[in-house]
Amino acid sequence: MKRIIPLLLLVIILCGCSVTSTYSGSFFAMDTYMTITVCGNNPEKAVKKAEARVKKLDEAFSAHNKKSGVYKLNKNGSAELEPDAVELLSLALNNYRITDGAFNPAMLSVTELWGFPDKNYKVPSENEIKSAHKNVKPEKITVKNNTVKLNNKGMKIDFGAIAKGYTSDKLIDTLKKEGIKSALVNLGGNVAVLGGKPDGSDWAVAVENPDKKGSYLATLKIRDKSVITSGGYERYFKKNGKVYHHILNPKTGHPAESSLKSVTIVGKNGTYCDALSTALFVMGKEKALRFWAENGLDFDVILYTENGGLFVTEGVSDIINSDFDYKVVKRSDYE
Amino acid sequence: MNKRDFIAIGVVVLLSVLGFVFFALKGSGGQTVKISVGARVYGTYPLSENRELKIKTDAGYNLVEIKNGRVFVKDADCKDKSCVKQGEISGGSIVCLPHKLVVEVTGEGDFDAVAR
Amino acid sequence: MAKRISVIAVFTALALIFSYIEAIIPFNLGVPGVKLGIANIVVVCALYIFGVKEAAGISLIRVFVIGLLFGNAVSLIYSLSGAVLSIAVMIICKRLKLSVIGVSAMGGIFHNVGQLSAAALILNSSAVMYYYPVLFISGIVTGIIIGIVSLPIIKNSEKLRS
Repeated sequence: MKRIIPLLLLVIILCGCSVTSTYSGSFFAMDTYMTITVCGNNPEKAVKKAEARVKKLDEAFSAHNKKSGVYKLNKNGSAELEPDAVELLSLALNNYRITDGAFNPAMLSVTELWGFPDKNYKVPSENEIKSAHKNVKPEKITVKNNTVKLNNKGMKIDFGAIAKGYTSDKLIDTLKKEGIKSALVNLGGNVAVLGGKPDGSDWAVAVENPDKKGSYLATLKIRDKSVITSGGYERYFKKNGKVYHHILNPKTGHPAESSLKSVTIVGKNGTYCDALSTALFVMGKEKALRFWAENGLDFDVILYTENGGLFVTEGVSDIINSDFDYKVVKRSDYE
Repeated sequence: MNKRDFIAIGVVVLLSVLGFVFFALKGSGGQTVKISVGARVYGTYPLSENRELKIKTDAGYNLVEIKNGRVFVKDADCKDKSCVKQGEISGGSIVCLPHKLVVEVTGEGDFDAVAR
Repeated sequence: MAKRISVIAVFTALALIFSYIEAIIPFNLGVPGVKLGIANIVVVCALYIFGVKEAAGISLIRVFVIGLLFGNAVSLIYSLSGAVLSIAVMIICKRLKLSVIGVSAMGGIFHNVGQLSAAALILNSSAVMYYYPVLFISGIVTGIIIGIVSLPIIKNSEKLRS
C-alpha cells in the first residue's frame, strides 16, 4: 500500500492504454481540420509521422497548389504525378466505372463554374455548363508509368471527393507500421479507426444530423472501419431562394437533385467509402440501395432522406444506436 | 473481531459502493470547450458555465458563446460564415477554416468522433 | 520514562526497517500496486501499547524519513495523505471500541483512500475513482492481516508499557 507509483500505473492501465499512452494531434490540411488520436508505444512519434504523411499527400492531391502534379496536369493536359496520386487516380477511375459515372473525378471545370472551389458562388448559364460538361470524359485519361495524360482539352480532374478516404487508409497503414493497434483518424468528419479503443471496447462514431448541427442521426460501434458521410448540407449557397449544394450530378453538371440529405458509408476501405458516399448521394435512394444490394458485400449504407426518413442496410443494424425510427434494408428485399 | 468491526467495515463499504454508483451514473459531467487557433490552444472552458468569448487574431474575429451546455459561434468576420452556420453543438467541433479557429467539445461524450 | 522513550525509538526504527524491507522485497499480493504495508504493524501496535500521540508520531516520522531517503516530493504527498487519514481513522475506531483487527482494517482502507484522493487531486482526474473498489478490498484484506499479526504482540506487551 505504500508506494503509489505502481498503483498509478495500474490506474492508467485500467482507464486507458495498457502501459502505453494516448496522444492526439490536430492540424489543418486538405482544406479541413484533422485530428489523429493514437494509443500505443510512443504515440506522439506515430502521430507526427502520420501528420507528415498527410502534408505530403495534400501536396500531391491538391488541385490548387501550384506545386502539385495535379495542378500541372490540369493546366497542361499532361504531367508526371506522385505515385500516390497515380494510384488514387486509378482507384478514382475504377469507382467511376463501377458506379456507372455517379462518381466522377473529372468534373472540376464544371465545379469551378459554380464557384465551389474558391467560394465565389454563382449560378452559371446553361451554355457555360454545357460547354464545360461536354469535355468531361474520364475514359480518355491515360496513365503510362507515372505520366498522366488527359487527352481532352478543358477537362480537369480533382480528388476532392475521394482524397480524404484514401488518405485515411494510408494513415492507418502508416500507424500500423509504427506498431500501433488502436487509433482514430478524423479527417474533417471522414472517420477511420484502427482496432478498438484502448480499453478494449469499440469506437463510437456519431453521424451528424443534416437538419440540426450538433445533433446526431445515430451512433455506430466500430473497429477497423471507416465511416464517411456526404451530403448537400456540407457546402451550399442560396440564390433567389433556391439552394445550390456542392455535389454535382456528373450526368447533368447541376447540383444532384437527390431525394437524399446525407449518405453515410461504413466499410473497411476508406477510399471506396469516400467515393461511394458521393456516388450514392448522386444516385438517390432507390438506385443507391439497389447498388448496395448488388455490390455491397464490403460496405454498408445509412441514408437520410429529404422527408426525414432514416434507412440503414442490414450490416449496420446490429452496430447502430439511434433515437430515430429507422428502417433496416435487407439484401433479400432486392432479389 | 467483534460486532462493531463488522458494522464499521460494512458501513464504509456500503458508502463506497454508493459513492461509486453515484459517480458512475452521474458521469463526471465535466465536458469542456477547447478553443484553439492554429496549433495554439486559446483556452479551455467548462461547457456548463455560460460565457461569451471575443477571439481576435491576425486572421480575423470570431465571437464564441457558451450557453446552457451548448456552444456556438455567434458572429465572425469571415467570408462564408460557415462557422456561424454550423450552429450550436454539445459534442464534436465547430471549425472556422479561414481563421484556423476550432471550437471543440471534449470530455465524456457518448462518442469518439462525428462523421459529417 | 527513559525506557518508554527508547522503546518508542526502537518502534520507529522497526517501522523504518519494515518499510525498507518492503521497498526492496515487495510482498506481491497478485494485484500490482497493492502492498501489504507491514510497517503498519508497528503503527497499530504503538496505538494500543503507547497511545495516540506516539502512534501518530511514529507514523509521520516513518513517512518523512522514507520519503527523504527513497521518494520524491510527489510520493511524499501521497504517503503523507494516506498515513494521516489512516491514523486519524484508526484513532476514531479505537475510541469506538473496535477490535484490533477492525481498527487495522479501517486503517488499511483509509490509507488507500488517502493516497488515491491525493492522486485524484494532483492528477486532476476523476478517472482514478474507478480504482476505488480494488483498493477498498485490498485495504480490508491487508488491514485484517496486519491486525491478526499485531494482536499477539499487543497482548504480550506488558513489559514494554511500564
